[in-house]
Amino acid sequence: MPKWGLAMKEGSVTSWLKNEGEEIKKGEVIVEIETEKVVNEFESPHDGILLRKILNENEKVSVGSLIGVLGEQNISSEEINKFVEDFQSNFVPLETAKEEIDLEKTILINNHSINYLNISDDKDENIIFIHGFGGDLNNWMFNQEELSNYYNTYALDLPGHGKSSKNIDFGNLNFLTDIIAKFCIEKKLKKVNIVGHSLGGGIGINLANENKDLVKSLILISPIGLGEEIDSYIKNFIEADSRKELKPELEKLYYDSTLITRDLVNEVLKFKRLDGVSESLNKIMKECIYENNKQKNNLIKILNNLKNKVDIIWGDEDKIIPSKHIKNLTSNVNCHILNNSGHMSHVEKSKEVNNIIKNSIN
Amino acid sequence: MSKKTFREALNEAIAQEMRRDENVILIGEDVAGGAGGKGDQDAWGGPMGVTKNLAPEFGRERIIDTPISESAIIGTAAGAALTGLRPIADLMFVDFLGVCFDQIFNQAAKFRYMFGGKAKTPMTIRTMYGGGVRAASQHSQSLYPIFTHIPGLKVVIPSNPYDAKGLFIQSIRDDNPVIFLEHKMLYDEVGEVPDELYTIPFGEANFTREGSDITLISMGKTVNLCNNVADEMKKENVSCTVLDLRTLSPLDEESILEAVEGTGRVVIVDESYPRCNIATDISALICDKGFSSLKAPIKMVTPPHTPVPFSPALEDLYLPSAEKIKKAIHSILV
Repeated sequence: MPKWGLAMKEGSVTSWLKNEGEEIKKGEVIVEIETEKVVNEFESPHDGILLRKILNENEKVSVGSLIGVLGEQNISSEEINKFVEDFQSNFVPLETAKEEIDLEKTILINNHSINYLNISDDKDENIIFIHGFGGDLNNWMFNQEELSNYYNTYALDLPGHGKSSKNIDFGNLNFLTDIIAKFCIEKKLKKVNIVGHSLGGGIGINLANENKDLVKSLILISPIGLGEEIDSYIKNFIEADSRKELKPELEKLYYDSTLITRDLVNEVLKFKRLDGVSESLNKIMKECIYENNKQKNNLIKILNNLKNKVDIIWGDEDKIIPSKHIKNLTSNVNCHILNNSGHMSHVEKSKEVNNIIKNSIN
Repeated sequence: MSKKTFREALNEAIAQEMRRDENVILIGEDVAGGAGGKGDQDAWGGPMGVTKNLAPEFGRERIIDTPISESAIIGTAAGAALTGLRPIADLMFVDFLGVCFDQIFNQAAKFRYMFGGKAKTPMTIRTMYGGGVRAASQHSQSLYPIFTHIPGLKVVIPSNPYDAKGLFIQSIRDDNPVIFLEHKMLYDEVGEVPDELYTIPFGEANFTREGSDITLISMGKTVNLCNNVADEMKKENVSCTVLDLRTLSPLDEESILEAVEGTGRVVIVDESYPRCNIATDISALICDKGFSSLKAPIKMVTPPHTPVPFSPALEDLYLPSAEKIKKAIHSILV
């Protein structure tokens, strides 16, 4: 059972996609796994034969538990049995989830309490992850931990989101950008690489433009500001006040809508029901994203003139902001269109996105 | 967000909302305790300590101890609500509703209607219900069906700390009389509760489990019983949906019918007396609007039609239990 994100303590199999005895290639999806927060596909770490499925569907086990056995062709039943027995008798469930959650800290910037998660501080380069509208730092659960093996990573909750202050003074792009800039000053980060999603992408572009010395590489996932079209998702997200209204909107975010579990919808509803959230989200929407049903910001020229290394990632099935916005960009921007991916490529195609990030920074 | 008890969640709801809105007052027997004579101020904070630390912060003009007169407590609150305050009135045990019922069902519930909408009665009555603590017949009842019966009253019944805080804040902010029911055995239950103010809309039930074989519907403390049963039934390869009603009035009919449609087999668990209770009310709804989904008769797990026993052995036999719920489930499984 893999560990996705720091809070994950246990998970279950929703369905096996391969049978016992089937040949598997490294990277192929073999099983779908559900956790408290999300449903996602588990890719095989190696080539081999799926010798045995250990975990049945819908049984919850702790992170690190044995869920299946992969091996070479001619391994006997007895050998597999022995391996499983040895594993189970030596297995101790991980109990580190509690301490790791305490890694999240808050910092006061422009009178707003900003919640952030920092993993690693001994690497040469820094990454700042900026989530999108209505999201929070947990959106990066398939990216941050993995990339912390190579870089110092900081994921923030924007004002009005996650665990940061819910009442915000302003909702415009400059205000949000300034929060990030001041964060870098407070944490003494002289040079950062920005990974920004959607609204976070727009903030990243603005930040690179306003702070030429601060930003090194820009990696933008489905960013705002590069075209007029944007789905009514943002307006509907704010207005939805029930599971029934919210679920179809959240499903728009993904190519694979089965990733939206009932628990996930409930978690988003709980966030929206906190005092101050509706007002803040409305402020950001009006000041930063929409005007007369069209995108408010035009960052095309700014992006085309940036001297930074820029990589843009777009899911070809993005229902929120269409991937065709890439056409407005000049050739100094590296464009990556991902197949079978929606607005949340960093979740749906995390391996590819992580590789693009590494290539961009190195 | 942090782990809080049901009691702490309620205390936070009251304290934070009283800070935000100066019109909110709290009135009841020993909601502070200790006033007068040489007694400690804030000696009690209510019989279960829910309202501790409020009197020192908000003063005795907003935290009001009363004589033992339920009709005075509720009547005062109703009048105060009419004239612009948002009172929280403590009807300590729901069993005492008889003493003040006219104030509740003929006065507070009907002011807005009978004054042609020109009056509003934004009051919240919080009250303890439920058995299991050997408090005997007059201190263990679950009389919420009587409130649900009355048009003009909203009836709220949380099963966990998160719902308790959100629903209580919603109750205070609602401009109508709300009866907020707290099971006396839930106060030490722990759950994740946001530190900020938040609300939960009325009329929205919550799915705590999802399955395809059996639907369990309940309210308040018995929801937790249903959750445990659902988890145990997995070992028998039976998957259960559990629906926590959260508010009895307004009732989330849509979710009830959706839950029934998903399985076709329903067990309703209700700790109140069996005649004319919530289980019978929902059964009628399901038979009327969800008949084509049903694959078996609707089963109800309720106490028998007797007062709540004082004898521990009898009380344990009396209350809904995991065994009784499983028996009901087995009786309608294929």
